[in-house]
Amino acid sequence: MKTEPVNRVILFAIICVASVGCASQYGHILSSNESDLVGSHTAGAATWNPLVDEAVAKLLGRCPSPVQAVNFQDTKPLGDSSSVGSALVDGTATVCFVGIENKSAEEIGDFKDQLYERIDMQVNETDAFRGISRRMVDAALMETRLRPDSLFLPNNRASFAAALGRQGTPVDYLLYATITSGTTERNKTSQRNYLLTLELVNLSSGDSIKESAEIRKGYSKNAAAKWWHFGLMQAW
Amino acid sequence: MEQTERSTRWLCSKLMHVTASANALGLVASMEIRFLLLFAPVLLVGCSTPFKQLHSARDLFASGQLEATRVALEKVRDDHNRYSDPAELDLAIVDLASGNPEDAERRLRRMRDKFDRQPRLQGANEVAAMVTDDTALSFRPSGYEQVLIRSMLAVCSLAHDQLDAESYTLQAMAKQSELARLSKDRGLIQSNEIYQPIAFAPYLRGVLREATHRNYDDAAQSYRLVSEVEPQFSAIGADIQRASVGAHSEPDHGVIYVIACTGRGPVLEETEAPVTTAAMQIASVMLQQIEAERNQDGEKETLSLPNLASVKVPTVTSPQCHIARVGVEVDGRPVGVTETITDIKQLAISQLEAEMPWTIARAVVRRVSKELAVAKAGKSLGLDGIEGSLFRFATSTLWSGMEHADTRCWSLLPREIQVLRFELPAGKHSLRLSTLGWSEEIYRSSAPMEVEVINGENNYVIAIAPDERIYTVHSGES
Repeated sequence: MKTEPVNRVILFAIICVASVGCASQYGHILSSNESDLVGSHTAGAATWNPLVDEAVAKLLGRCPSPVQAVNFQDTKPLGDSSSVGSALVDGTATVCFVGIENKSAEEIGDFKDQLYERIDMQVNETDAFRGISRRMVDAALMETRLRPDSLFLPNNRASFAAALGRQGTPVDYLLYATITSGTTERNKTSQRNYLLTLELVNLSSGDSIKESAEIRKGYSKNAAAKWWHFGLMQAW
Repeated sequence: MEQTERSTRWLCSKLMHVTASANALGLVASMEIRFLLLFAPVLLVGCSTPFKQLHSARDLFASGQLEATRVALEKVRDDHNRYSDPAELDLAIVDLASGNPEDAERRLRRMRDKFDRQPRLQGANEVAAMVTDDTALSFRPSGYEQVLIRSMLAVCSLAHDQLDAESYTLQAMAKQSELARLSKDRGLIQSNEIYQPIAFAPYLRGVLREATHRNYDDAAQSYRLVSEVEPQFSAIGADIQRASVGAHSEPDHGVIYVIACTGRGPVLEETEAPVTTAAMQIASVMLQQIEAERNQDGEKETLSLPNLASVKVPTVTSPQCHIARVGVEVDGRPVGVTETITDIKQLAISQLEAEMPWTIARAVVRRVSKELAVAKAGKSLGLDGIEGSLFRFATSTLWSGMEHADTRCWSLLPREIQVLRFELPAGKHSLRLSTLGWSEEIYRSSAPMEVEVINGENNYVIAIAPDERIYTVHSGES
């Protein structure tokens, strides 16, 4: 059938309008009851946020209450003992969140600093702990030239605590976060398990409490592959 | 450039000759066609103007005349709509070299957003490109240029407030990942979607993450990526070692990074390329699609591939330049020379080579559509037989002669991006940079600049050396 010139003009106009439409970008604010976007290629907010919430809640659930924190006064702390005493006056222990180590297969990009803030904030919200300012931690790391992963060694821990102590910031615990992943591949579909581990190390004794949270995520090339490998009832 | 001028003159004379012959034969019946044919050479001469202006702007920049470069580029931007975007990108480099990284950052940010908003299909421009040439399309930077826009944004930010530098490095990495993903998902590499990893982007990310004294894992990961992309960059071994088991710097020391943009970057010039088999195959597929659409519309005419020997395409050239590296002296003592981390010339060549079959195929299809249009025009003028054949030959030759290869590019980019890292005791130091030739002979030195090294922190010195002359800007300056 031969297309009429008028139809061609209309078709052309539609294509032009569609092209212009493609060039625009829109944004909208998500309300608190709306779910996070699920990343198609990497973890994203829908993975990281619940991981942090669960891991922090588990860790805090296992930690000693403010009353029990007195126990730490009995054990001789490293660094300035008087300053540790001052940390226990109000019944709270000071926590130095050293950082997040990414050992997963993915680059977490701009999420890393946000995860740090999210964990730090949640730890600070409890009565049991008082967090040390990130700037203080950075300054101590710079002063001592110690790497976060080297603070597991007793001597390094002592130097780091001493540096924080000199800044007037005594410390009872060091908190580490580690992100790991495990990937299973089946043809063009894959499953990746994300594990966030939080480790709280008692600076004086070296004892640690460890908690983790895991989220498993499937990646498929198309909907059919997703249904085939993960079942029809899987949400997007 | 001389070659382009010669080609233009040759084409003009050829067109005048064809026009005169056509007139003599009485073939050119309508006034509109006669007018078009007579003024075609004038149009051609007009088209060469932005090339000349851009060429002279590049020369001015290399010779150190920044204000004259700015004036020339602003003229191109204002007078030639299709060249305004590459001219804007060039102006950002002029801003940076003039010691105005804030202006450069603002300009690049605007261009980044503009290119990001660009639709994939350019609607009316695509149609215009089919009847004229690829310069009718809006300028779309190549994949490596898109990554470099973000990397240069990071450099500009490092040269003044450093506020958004980390975000820009993340954007550069994200753009690289996006290009890699597009390339992988499509399976078929197409124009502007060719993925070429650039080591400079992850390097900057590593440098910034290392400077936090906390995110050594990120830094090590970025440096490893650099090592994979640019294995001949020898300094990366020490960087990986330091980020994996060492510390940012010795106690009471700070770090200076010299980021040098050396040499005159690659530019595109017009040349004739033979029509390859690969290009003909692509063109054949494109024509089959067009023919299928035409058949649906009731058109019965069969489209056939023209017998073309060559078409006009862009080619990468790199202007002569004596500069190989940048040498650094601190307090009168040499501390080292910069080393190449990204070879932009090579990136441009690879990009063009990968795109070439598509560029040629587009030119072939364009020729088919032009010949078809000319045949229809001849028919409507009532020309057939020998007269019709001559008319078709003359008009399609003229029309095709007016085509230009798309030679728009970010031409003030350097030939190479080089870096040098060294540690210094905290305090004030005097730095002097020199342009070095291939045998490390010194051409010119910058004026000594005083840099304050802060314990445990990074300092950035940006050097732009398009030729013997060197422009410097450093983070403590503004």
